Amino acid sequence: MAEEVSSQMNSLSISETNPSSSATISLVSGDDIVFKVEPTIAKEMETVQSFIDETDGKITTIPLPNISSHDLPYVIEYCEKSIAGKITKEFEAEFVKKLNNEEVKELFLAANYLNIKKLLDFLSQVIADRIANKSVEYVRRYFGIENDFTPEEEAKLREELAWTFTGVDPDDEDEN
Amino acid sequence: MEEAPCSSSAARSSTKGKSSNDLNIGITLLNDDLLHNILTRLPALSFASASCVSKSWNSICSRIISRPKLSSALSLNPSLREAVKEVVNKVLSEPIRPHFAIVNVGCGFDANKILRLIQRKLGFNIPIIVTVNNGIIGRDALTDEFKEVKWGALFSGIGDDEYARHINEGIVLTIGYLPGLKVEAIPLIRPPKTPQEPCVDSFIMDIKEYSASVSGRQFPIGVILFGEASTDMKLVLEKLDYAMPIDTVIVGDERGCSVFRCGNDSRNACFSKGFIEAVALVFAQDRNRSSGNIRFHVAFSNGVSPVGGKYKAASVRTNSTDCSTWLTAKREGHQELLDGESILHDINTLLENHIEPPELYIGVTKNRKVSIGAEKPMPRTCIAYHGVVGGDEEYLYVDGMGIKTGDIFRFYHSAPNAALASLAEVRDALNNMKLEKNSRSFEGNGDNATNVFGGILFACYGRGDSFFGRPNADSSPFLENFPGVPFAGIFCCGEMVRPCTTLIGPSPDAKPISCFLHVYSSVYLVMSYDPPPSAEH
Repeated sequence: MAEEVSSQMNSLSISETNPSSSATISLVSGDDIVFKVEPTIAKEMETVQSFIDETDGKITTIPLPNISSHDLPYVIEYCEKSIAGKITKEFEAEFVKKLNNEEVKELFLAANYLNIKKLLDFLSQVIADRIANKSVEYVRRYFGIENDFTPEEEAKLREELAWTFTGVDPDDEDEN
Repeated sequence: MEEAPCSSSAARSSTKGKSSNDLNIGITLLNDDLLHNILTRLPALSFASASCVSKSWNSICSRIISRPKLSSALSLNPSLREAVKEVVNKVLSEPIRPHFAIVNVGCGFDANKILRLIQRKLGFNIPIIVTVNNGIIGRDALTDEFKEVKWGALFSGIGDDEYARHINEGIVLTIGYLPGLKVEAIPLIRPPKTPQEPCVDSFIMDIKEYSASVSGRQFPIGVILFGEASTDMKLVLEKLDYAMPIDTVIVGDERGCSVFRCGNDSRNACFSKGFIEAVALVFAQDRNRSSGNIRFHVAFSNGVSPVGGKYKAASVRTNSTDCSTWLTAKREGHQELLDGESILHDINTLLENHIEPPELYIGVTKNRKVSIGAEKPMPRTCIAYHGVVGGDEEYLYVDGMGIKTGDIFRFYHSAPNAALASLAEVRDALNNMKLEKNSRSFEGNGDNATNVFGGILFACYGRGDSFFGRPNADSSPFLENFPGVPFAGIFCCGEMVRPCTTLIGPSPDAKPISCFLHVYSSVYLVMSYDPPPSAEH
């Protein structure tokens, strides 16, 4: 347990220069905050790793303009757990409990941008769980999607799927 | 589960140059693969809603369930409501649109109540058949453990008190999504005071008419048949076998059908016209859709071995009150008339080294003329099994009727070793199907290979772990070859299969003599899908 805490502290130590660990990688968030991570963490992020590989490892500071300093620690935390082989159901449950819908969506995009397959799959499941048993209207709002069916088309679709429109949860709006 | 491919270039391009403030728009513009990865994880009901969100979502959903699917689950929860809830939630836990449902329950559950509950969950416009069986087979909805469950005898003739103590609760539900096929439940209705034959004829006409109406072809690709407990299914099968071409698969359970509902509501109206003797779940090609090809295969595991020589029925008396036959016989080529006692004595001498007395049957070769309606009768030869009840100094007593003087018969006994050997053959046959797919996958062509997507087992109630001395023996050939592929079934009293071209593995009979109603056997219905050759996904 003590180990976990210290490693988390380490990864979260924002933009502190540490000359003794020259091998660390600096990830720069969209709002210009620097996160220092172990190279093994960078390996989990395919986008970062391929950047490092392309420059033969000479460049160790990587700008990530699409990811905010709010989201990046979550990504790093997940990657650390993943390396340690400690992705358990309990960890994942705790992890998503902290996140509201907007954050889940942001992280999903971040995982996609960084190309972290495991995190992407996990968040796909989280999003699927969050839109499960919700009305069509809720799902449209959640994703910000315009309904492009004509009323006739939609009525026909709904008729075909009439058996499914029982037992939908009442639309509870998001916490934010 | 389908994998959502996510190449790094595609992933990067989808978010390139977007500000993280526009998240809703960001999600909207997610490429199809990412959305595919989310939607494919939805349970069936939410998945259906997702297809109503927008046109692009609708097309992604169509892509996700472009392939046929079977889904099955078992529950032994003693509460009827809870058990139904468990299996329904399980089969609907991933994207699927039910086209039909087969529900098998223990006699402790009220079949009508089950039907109403399932209907409410799966919709009123699909065929649903509920059967009451004395054993169910499937994967537990909650624990994922595979179970073969056999209950106390339902038809063994023990008294009512005993029967009540054997009441058991359990359910196995199989639903299927079969794009490219149409499925309907068609009943065999027998009005009061009507002989069986004309009813069977019109039942077969109904099947042909239904098939012609959806596919333009008179013959379905498959029929799953469930008989009523008190119905003699021999004539039904004889006629069906005669009427259907050799590539139509016919399998089922001789007894067990309890209640059902047709997909087309107008059919449900005619039930009041008479007693329902059987119901057929008919799978016919849909003329409007032909992407890919769904095929039904059958595998058969025999469970009896012949013993002794052949006999010729001499004098035959039938007793229609208890549906039995009394007969004397001669050894083939001999003139001496034998009574039941001496015949059985000979057979039992041959079986002396058996520790447990096996079940005895006679397999009677019957040469009969068959016709449908006003057609000219055609000669057919088939084997029918009759259980041996006993023998005395006059007669040999057997179950069932329809034996005639001059018919040749032979004794058969239940034989675990023969059954194990045939299970191994079924395993090999299924393995060949798997190897074919694997080798095509190896060539990078796996997506286009024949893909087994589900199976249904009809196992004789006499089998199971007490027969084999180990659990799940009957399911093992399928489970070992297709782990993770939905598979469920029943222990039945009279498993049915007719010879057909899609039979894989050991054949139940030597052509041209056929047998449809088997004893101590297991019948595997295996469904596979061949994607269209040019399919991209």
